[in-house]
Amino acid sequence: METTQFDKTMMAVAFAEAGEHDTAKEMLKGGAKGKSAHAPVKSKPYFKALLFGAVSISCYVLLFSNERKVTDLCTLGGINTMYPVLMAFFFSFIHGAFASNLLGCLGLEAKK
Amino acid sequence: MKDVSVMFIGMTLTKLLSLLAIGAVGGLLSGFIGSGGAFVMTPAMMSLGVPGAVAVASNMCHKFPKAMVSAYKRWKYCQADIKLGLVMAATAIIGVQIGCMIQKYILQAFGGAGSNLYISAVFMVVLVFVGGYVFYDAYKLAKGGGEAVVGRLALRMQKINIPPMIHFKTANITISAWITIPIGVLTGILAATIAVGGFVGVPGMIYVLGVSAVVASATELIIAFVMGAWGSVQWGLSGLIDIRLSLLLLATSLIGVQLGALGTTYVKDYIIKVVMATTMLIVAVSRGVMVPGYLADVGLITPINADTLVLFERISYSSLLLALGSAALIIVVAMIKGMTADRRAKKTLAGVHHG
Repeated sequence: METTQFDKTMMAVAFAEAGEHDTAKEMLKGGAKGKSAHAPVKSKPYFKALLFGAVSISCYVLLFSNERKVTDLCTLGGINTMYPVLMAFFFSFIHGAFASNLLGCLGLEAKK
Repeated sequence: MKDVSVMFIGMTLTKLLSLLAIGAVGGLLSGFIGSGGAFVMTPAMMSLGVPGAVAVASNMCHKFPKAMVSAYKRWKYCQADIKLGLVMAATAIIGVQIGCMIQKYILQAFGGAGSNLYISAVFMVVLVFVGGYVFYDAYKLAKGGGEAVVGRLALRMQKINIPPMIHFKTANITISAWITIPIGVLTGILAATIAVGGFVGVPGMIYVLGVSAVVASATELIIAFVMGAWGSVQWGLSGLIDIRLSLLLLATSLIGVQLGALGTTYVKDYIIKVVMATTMLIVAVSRGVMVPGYLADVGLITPINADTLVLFERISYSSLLLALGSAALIIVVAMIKGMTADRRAKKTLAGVHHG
C-alpha cells in the first residue's frame, strides 16, 4: 500500500512528539519536494461577519424601534404563537451566522 | 388586545446591558456543559423585575434556538449523537408532563410556599448528590491523567439484553431502550421542576449509559432543543413570551454558546466534569440558604425576621453569580491553555517542515 503525504506527516508528528526530531525530518524530506511546506492559509470570513453583523444589528434596531407593536403581536396567543417562535429562529440564524463568522475572524476555531 | 406594559418591564440601558451580560455567561456555560444557563437566567431576570412566569417563558424561547445552534456546532465536531438525543427527548417530554402534574398537585395541596419548598428541596438533593459524585469522578480522572473510562454501573447496564436494543453510533454504545427511558423521564421531570433537566440528563448519560462527558453534554443540547421548542409553544399560547428579553439574551448567548462549544475541543473530558460539578455545588448553596425561609412559610419552623430573610436572598443571588463567574473563569482558562498548547504543537510541526 502506498504511503500518502498525510500518513507521512502523521508519522513525522508522532516521532517529533516522541523527541525523535531527526527521524521526523527524514520522513518529511521526500514528500516536501516540489511542494510548499506551508499549509494553505485560510482566509478569514471578514465579509460574511460584516454582512451578517449589519443584518443582525438592523433587525435589533427594527425590533426596538417598534417594540410595542412587536410585543403586542407576540402576546396574542393562539396561532400568533408562531410569531415569537419564528422570530427566535430567524434571529438565531442571522445572529448565529454573525457570531460564528466573528469567532472565525478572531481566529477562534475548533481544534481539528 | 392586552396592555403589555402591565406585564412586561420597561427597557432601560442598565437592564439591557444586564440581559446581555447574563446571556453571554449563560451561553458559554450551556455550550460547554450542555445545560446550566437556565437556572441562573430565570432568577436573574426576576431580579430585574420580570414576573416569574414571563421570565420562564422568555428564557425558554431564547433557549431552544440557542440549543439548536450549539447542537449543530457540536454535531459538526462529531460530538452530538442525534439518535440518542431524540430517544431521550421523546421520553423527556413524558417526564415534563409528569413533573407538571406533581407541581400542580403540590401547589393545590400546600400552596405557593409548599411549591417553593419542594423546588428548593429537589434542587438541593439533586445538586448535592449528583454534583458531589461528578466532582469526585473528575478528581479521580485528573489524578489518573485525565483519560475517562466507562464506569462499572454503565458496563453492567450495557450487558442487560432486553429488546429493543439500540446502537448509538456517535456515543459508541449499544443499550436497551428500557435503560434510556427512566433517564429521559427523570430529565423531563427535573426540567419541569427546576428548569435544568441537564443536571440529571448529562450525568445519567455518562454514568448509567456509559457515554463520554463530551458526547453527553453535546447530546443534551438536542434534548434541550426539543423540550425548549415544545415548552415555548405552550408558553406562547398563553401569550407570556416577552420577545425583547428572549432576543436580547440570544444576542450574546449565541456568541457564548459557540465559544463554549469550540472550547470543548481543546479540553480534556474531566474539565467538563469539573465545571459541571462546581456549578452544581455552588447552586446547591444558593438554593440551600432559601430553605429556612420556605420552612417558616409552611409553618414547619418558627418565623424568621424580615432582615434575615433579605440577607438570605442576597446570599442566594450572590452565590448564583459566583457559580456563573467561576464556571466562566474555569472554561476561559482551560480554553486558553488548550489553544496555547495546540498552537505550540503546530509551530513545532512547522519547525520540523522547515528544518
